[in-house]
Parts: sequence; structure tokens; C-alpha cells
Amino acid sequence: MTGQMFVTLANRLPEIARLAGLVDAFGKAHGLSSEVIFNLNLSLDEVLTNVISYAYDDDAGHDVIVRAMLDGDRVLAEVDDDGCAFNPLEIAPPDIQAGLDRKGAGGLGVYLVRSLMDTVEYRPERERNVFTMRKRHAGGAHPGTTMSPVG
Amino acid sequence: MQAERTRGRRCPPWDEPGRHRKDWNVEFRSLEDRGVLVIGVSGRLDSTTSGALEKEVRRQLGTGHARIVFDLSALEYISSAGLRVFMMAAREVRGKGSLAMAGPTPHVRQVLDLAGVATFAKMYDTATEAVEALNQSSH
Repeated sequence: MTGQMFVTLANRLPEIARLAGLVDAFGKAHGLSSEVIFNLNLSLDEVLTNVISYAYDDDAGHDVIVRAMLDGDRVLAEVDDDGCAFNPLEIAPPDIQAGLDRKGAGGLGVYLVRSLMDTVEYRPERERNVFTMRKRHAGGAHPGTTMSPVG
Repeated sequence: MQAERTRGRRCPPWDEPGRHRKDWNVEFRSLEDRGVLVIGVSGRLDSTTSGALEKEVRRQLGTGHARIVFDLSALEYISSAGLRVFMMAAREVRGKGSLAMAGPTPHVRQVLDLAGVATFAKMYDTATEAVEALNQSSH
């Protein structure tokens, strides 16, 4: 496996579990720790769950593209979708210490992503949404050079 | 905060509880131990499986259970969708019972800690310890 992963998912929630297997294999092949792999999978899950659940107002099939690659001492993951433009980073974080009395049910997923990743970034790009996350990894050998389509 | 909608299409709210679809990536096992309901959850608890757990928890709550332990020792993965089920259960038993988490793996524990689960449920190393603690607190 090369230092990059490129996966096209259908906009269906069960696709997230399939992606988790691919990310797990990608991470293990590049010596990423189980913690980094877990956090990467959780962050991708949260972003993708929101995209698949809320970004589309039609019943058509849509491709959601996920890229992951090693970038120096960091692993980078991107979710690229053609849903309605939305910047999840504008969501106010939940008041965790308020416990059960916290207002509203929203924001928890994005809060986890921001907590688990080192950097997160959203940009609209040619009528698509691109959400990029980076996380420092302890291991990981060789940076990617070629694109390896899977899925 | 409402985000920008640059393409003019109706944009549903972000990050609300997702649609639920049952699949077989998760398993639940419920048993009663000294009057405490222990729900063992194994596998992946995410947006596709949390609905099944929610259904099971609501069914058990409907039978009058108010002291509940989630045994997470075999839980491999949890997302915010799973956390919301725990919050729902905690709200339902608030004032009439208690909720505890037992045996989460380090990765799952990290997510529980980030989400502030300790603000509404106590943590124990094993389900047995949790059952004993809930029993003692009820006497």
C-alpha cells in the first residue's frame, strides 16, 4: 500500500463501517498507532455521518470522496462532498460540563473531531465541501507519492 | 450558529441525531443482577447501530428498570450517536435511579471523558463493581 488512500463512498451510513476497515488497514500498513487510527476513524465517522444525514435534500445517490495520506509527521484526512455548503466549524461547541442540562443535542460530533484532531479546516471548493483534518502520528514511515484508488 | 448556505438549497440542520438503521455490527446482552440491569454492548456503536441500542434501552426502561449498568468491556468503537443513547438513558433515570459505565477500553474511555459522560454516570472497572456500587447506593 502506498502512503495515500482514496475511497469513493455512496451517501449511505453503512459505508462508514466499510471505510473504517480501509482506514484500519491503511493505518496499520503505515505503522500508525491504534490510538491515531481510532481517532482518525471517529473523526471521519462524525464528519461523514453529518454529510450523509443532512447535506442532501434529494434521494439521489451521491459520491463522497475520502482521502487519507501521510504528510510528514502528520496524517491528513479529507472528506469531499457535493452536498449543500455548510461549515461545521461555525457550530458552537456544547457545554460539556453542563452534563445532562446542556442545551440542544447538536455539536457533540464536531466537538469530538476538534478535540481529537490537531487541526481542522473547511473550505468550499467548486460547489463542493472539503473538510480537512490533520493529526500528528508517532510512527509512519514513508510519505505518499502516488494515488491508490480503492473502494 | 447557522452556517452559510451558498447554493440556495434547503440545508437541513447539522449534527442532529441521525437516521437509525439496524445492522449486525453491534450486539447487546441484557441481564438483571441483584435488581440492576446490566446491558452489555459489543462491537461498533455508531449512527447505524445506536438506534437498535436506543430501542433496547427504552424497552427495558418501560419495564421499570431505573438502575442501569452499561458493560462496555467488549465495545470496540463509539461515536457521538452512541453517546446520545447514554445521555437519553441518564435523563430517563434521573431522579429515580442511576446509571454507570463499566470496563471501557482506553480508546472508548477517551471518548467518554471528552464527552463529559462522568458528569452523569459513574465509571467502574468492571460490571460487577458497578452493580455492587449501585446496589449499595440504593440502600
